[in-house]
Amino acid sequence: MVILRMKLQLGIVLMILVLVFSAPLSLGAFERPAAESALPSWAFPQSPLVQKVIAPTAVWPGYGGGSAVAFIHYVRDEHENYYHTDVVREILQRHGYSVYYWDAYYQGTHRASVWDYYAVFNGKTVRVFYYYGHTAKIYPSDEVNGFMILQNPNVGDTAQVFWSRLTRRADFHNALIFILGCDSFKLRTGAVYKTYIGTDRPIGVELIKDKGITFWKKLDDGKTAYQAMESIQPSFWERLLHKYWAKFKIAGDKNWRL
Amino acid sequence: MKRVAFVALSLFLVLGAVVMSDTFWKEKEHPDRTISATANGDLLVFSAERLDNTGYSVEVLACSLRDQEVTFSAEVPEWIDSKVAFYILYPNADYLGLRWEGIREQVLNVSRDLGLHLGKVEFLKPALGRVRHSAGRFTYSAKLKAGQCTVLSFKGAFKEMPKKVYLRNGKVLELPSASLSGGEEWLLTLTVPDGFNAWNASIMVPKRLGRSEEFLRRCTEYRENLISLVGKRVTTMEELAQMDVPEEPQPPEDYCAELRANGSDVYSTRLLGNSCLYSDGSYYGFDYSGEGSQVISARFASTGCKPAIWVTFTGKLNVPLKQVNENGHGRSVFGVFGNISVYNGDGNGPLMPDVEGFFVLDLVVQSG
Repeated sequence: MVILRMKLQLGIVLMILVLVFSAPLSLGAFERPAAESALPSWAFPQSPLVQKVIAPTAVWPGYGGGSAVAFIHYVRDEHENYYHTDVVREILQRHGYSVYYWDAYYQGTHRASVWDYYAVFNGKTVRVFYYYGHTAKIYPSDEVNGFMILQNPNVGDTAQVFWSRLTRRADFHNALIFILGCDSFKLRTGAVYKTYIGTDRPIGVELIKDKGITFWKKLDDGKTAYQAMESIQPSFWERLLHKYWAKFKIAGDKNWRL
Repeated sequence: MKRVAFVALSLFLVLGAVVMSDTFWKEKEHPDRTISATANGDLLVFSAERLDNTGYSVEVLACSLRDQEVTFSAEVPEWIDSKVAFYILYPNADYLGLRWEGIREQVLNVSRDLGLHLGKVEFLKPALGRVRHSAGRFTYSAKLKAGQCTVLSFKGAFKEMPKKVYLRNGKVLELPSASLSGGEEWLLTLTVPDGFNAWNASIMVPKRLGRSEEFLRRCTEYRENLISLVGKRVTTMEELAQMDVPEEPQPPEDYCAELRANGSDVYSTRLLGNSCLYSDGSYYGFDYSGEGSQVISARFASTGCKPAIWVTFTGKLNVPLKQVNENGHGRSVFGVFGNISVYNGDGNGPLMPDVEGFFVLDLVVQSG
């Protein structure tokens, strides 16, 4: 009883002290993070602080001064190197796209916030959105159902939230969206797009690099989105060999071209 | 200013919680029973299984909290083993790789709660040459340092999918079933039975359907020949990559039925699921998800030869663990389909491993 009384007394005293010192400031603490409404940090490459935080090569202008915007979102894997941003970036630039890039691991380990991510889309007309790598497991009862923004399955958004945040900021009406990750066809819920491509179940990470590169090279060769997708559909042999093989599905304008 | 306010608020909450909590006033108690059971034998174990039309896959990842020898044992039940054409050993954890960040965090948290302080958690590739296989049982022993994790991962590729599916406890798993009824106007009924914790299903109605006896013969022969090419009971991806695989036959452009439905326009593979029936790649799609039993129906119209619908289903499964004690040492036998266990040199292993199982089915439904 004595210990319980001591606990209560000391607890109450500490709480009052902290409340007294924090009261004048506390109202502002509940405001939305300022970063959400700010311009993307990579819009200020002259800032030494920003250069330390964000990779300076995060935006590449399209060749020929084209104004179309492409966005690449990469979620790395610790054990499988499927990185191929450089290949896709080069193709998109050659087709006149300004390429914006988000490396979820890099940003996550350099203290970026999810609001930095969403802010990049402010006012853009996005024509290509390519997300490759792991999608997020957010609810234990579901298998895979969201987007990883900062390389942590717990720092992501469900498809509904993700797309509503993006489409409040950017125009996706003419966009090709290609999500090369697990169960990604389901992740179109809430998305606005011209053409959407995703997988119908979990996909083995060892398949991502080859399929990603092949897909973009086909588009580069002038093939339609459907033809490019068909070139990466799993063969019978691939389905036999891999634990996690997936078929691709496309919704919208299957004749979309770069 | 906002940062100061945030810090002050955090301090308030943390100090309040600490002062009111018992642990502030008491000596640190022994770790609770849940942690002891999770990390029995100073091991943490995670497993994922998947059974689909093409095979049975197993991934077992074990992380050791101290330097010790760790043994994996995975017994493939006879009803699966008898349908397997060959087994493939993998050097990585695929599904568990997806969960790696969370797993690493969990290992660090548990080790801290146990008073152990691992500097880091790292993945060690398994030495596939040391994986043993005999009478449907895979065993693998590895010396792990504190903080090291490794995996036993394999797939049994089916020559044909088993007709009946059993859970580890011997119970028959009731499978989703589908049927067609009608004439020109058709009704597809998909029945999802109880037993799946969570599931999703998609129904794909082909806009044009093709049935060619010639293609069916070529497609079936191709698949049988491909399977017999391997010629080894246990192999690796490295060995399979060396093989010269002939090109898959492509379906013709002739169609015998046209179908219509109110689903969304979706395009996918020309072959319907795992069958040798084909479409032109255009479908009407319907998506569903749920928990527990449910009956789903979709209407469509069809003219021409008898229709066929492609249904894909993914369900999540759970089967209670079985605890075994030998000479005073305990561990769990777990797994949804197979009998899996992981233990150290004393015979101790986790009593509460993290277990996930998935049943994935491509169903092609035809009338009659």
